Amino acid sequence: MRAAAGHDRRRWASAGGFPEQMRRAGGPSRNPGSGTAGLARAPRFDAFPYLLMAPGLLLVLFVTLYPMLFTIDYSVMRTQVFRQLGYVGLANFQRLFADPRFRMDVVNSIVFVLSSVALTWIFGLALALFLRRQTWGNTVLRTLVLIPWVTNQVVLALMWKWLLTGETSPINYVLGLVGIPQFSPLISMSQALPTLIFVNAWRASGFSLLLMLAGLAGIPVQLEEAAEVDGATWLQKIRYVILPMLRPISLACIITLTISFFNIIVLPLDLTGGGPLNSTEVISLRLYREGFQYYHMELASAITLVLVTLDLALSWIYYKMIRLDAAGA
Amino acid sequence: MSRLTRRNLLKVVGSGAAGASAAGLLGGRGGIPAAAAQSAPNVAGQTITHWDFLSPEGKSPRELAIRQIEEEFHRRSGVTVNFQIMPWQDLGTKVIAAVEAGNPPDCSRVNIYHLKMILTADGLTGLNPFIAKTFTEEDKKDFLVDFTAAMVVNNSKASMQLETVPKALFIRKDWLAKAGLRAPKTWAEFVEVGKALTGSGRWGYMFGASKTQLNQVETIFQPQIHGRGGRVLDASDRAAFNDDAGVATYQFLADCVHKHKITPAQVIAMTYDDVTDAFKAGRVAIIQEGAHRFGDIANAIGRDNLELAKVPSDDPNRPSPTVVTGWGMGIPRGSKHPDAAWEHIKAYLSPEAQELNARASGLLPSRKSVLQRPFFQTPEAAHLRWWVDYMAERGEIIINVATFTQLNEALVDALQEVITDPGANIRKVLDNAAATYNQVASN
Repeated sequence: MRAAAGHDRRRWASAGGFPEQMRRAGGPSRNPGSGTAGLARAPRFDAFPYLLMAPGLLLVLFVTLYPMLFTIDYSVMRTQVFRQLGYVGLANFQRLFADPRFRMDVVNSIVFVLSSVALTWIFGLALALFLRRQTWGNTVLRTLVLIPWVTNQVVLALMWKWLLTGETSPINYVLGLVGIPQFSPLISMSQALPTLIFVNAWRASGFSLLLMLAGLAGIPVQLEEAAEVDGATWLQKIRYVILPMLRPISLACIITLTISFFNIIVLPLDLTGGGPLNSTEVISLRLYREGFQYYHMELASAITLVLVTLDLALSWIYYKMIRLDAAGA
Repeated sequence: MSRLTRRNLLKVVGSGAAGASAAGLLGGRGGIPAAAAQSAPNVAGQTITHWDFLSPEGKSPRELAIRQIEEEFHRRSGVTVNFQIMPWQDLGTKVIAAVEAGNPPDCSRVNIYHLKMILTADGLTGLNPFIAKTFTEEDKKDFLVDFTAAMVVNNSKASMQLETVPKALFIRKDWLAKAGLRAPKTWAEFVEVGKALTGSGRWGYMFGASKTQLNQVETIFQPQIHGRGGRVLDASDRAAFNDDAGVATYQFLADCVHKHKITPAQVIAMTYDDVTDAFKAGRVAIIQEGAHRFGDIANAIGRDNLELAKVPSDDPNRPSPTVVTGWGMGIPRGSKHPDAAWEHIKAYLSPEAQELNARASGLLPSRKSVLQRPFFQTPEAAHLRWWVDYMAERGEIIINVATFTQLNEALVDALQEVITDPGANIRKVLDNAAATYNQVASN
């Protein structure tokens, strides 16, 4: 299969792929030796483009840099709601990491994010493979899968709560008809978090499906045909052709989902409220509580910085993976 | 937290309409006190923003009453009110955020249990100057419940009480009659009634123990713990719910689930609203509920099928207390139209508006003199007089501390633990919860 992929790549290059065409047209190149005469002279600094960008840049700085500075400032202060009472250094972070509940929040978040991302990616890929052919029925099914992604999370949470709460659950009603005892995963310490993960993955599968469909559309049909000619089974075709070709878009999907899931509040708040006994409380939900229910601005700021650090670390890892992937290609 | 004395409440009824009339409460401009009518500034043409959890566009009994009050207010004052609707449990915290952001509404509903936190954040304008311009000394005494402990900080009043919401047991009267039972007076009777009414897809008793709507949980515990002779918080506002009465209360609630089987374990995933909905849907026989939802529930299950009962205790001759709460209205700091906002608040304090609220939704008025109006003497208002009697007998104001949300969280965490783990050592669970709360409250 690798041979088939390499063959295809060579064919594409010999036909004059995009970098080749750029070179022929005298466009920009990473190779300094291939520059045109115009590039030999250092361009004069032109402030005009920066002037055009300035309003947007200032706006972006205002909505990102200012909140970040505000957060850093509050995270090292003792506060009473928004009033700063004094500098405390890193005491808020010490307090946070000494709190067993916060440590549980961190573990819950990591389990929630990693499991949700994995499930969402698998659901999205499976659905994309199943629904990739352009038929009327598939178009309808794709739309159905997308509905949870575009629906308000409060509505989804209430719907699942209704479905999964023993007292009102139609699922339990049907199970009861065939003699199976009721189940109530939302009140079980061991089942609540897996349930939350499943519901979240179900919700986000539409997004993953869209990306995977786009990725599948970008795979040259000749590659798959070559694999079939070589006698590859359906699973081998997925393993050796489709998955490698989907790697870049999968990484983009995983990055987006990871950051999105780390910052999720509404679904856990309305589905489980973080319970039972904080078993489904994730960092973002704790942040919401500290910031907007208890008005502990110093702790909310410290949690925000922890969350931002986690987001940045994961983004950096994914960035490196994409670079490696691009280099490997 | 101040006790409501029987003498104070009975004075309400005894003071008579004459006093109220003398104070101008029934006269004046559209029910606004006479003093107000003389000194009201010209606010016609102004537009104010008001934050609420009820909408004049809504269909519930309380919202229908609000629509009429707002229409009348606009007609009389010329002020246009833009309602912005928030979830009730978030209203207090959103006011704080808006004030800090420099973009507060002109007027907002505020609940007693959020007041201390809002005032800690300096989120409300002191109302003393407005009150001085509007009310006579006699008017100031014309409030059914003295909420001074909750509403006055540093000698400045921060909110005007619009309504009085005591809490009691709401029971399916038709189910009771069918079972040949009467409303329970003791906890032992409560369990027997609960058992008799459990079955066929129905439960005897439910309470909301989810953390999604935290601020109503305390109203389950305060009557039960205080009724058993204990305290939720001690005199210095430190946790005391781990005393014997607290342990007995948690044991009782856990037994309702595990031993008596009159309460489903799913209550730990149910909110206060879920429990009300379950009662309205006919899935539960007994809940602890407030006067503010009487009209809505009566409409859903039929007025004749709803019985009010005092919260039981271990002594059949002395019920557990009714926790009194309710919504007020205040002017957030930085309001651009404080005079118009005050006129808006006054409209809700008028006898006509308060009677309208009582007729529509079963809400008790906040003003004593309103109780002298003819409607309150009719059979239709019998439940309102019942509430007044209960408050006179065993009324107490809901606990109001700046860390009220964290108090609820500590209570809920402990409740979830004793329900999810039938073998939990309740004393130990409560000691941990009390220690956690005390640590949070002292920070």
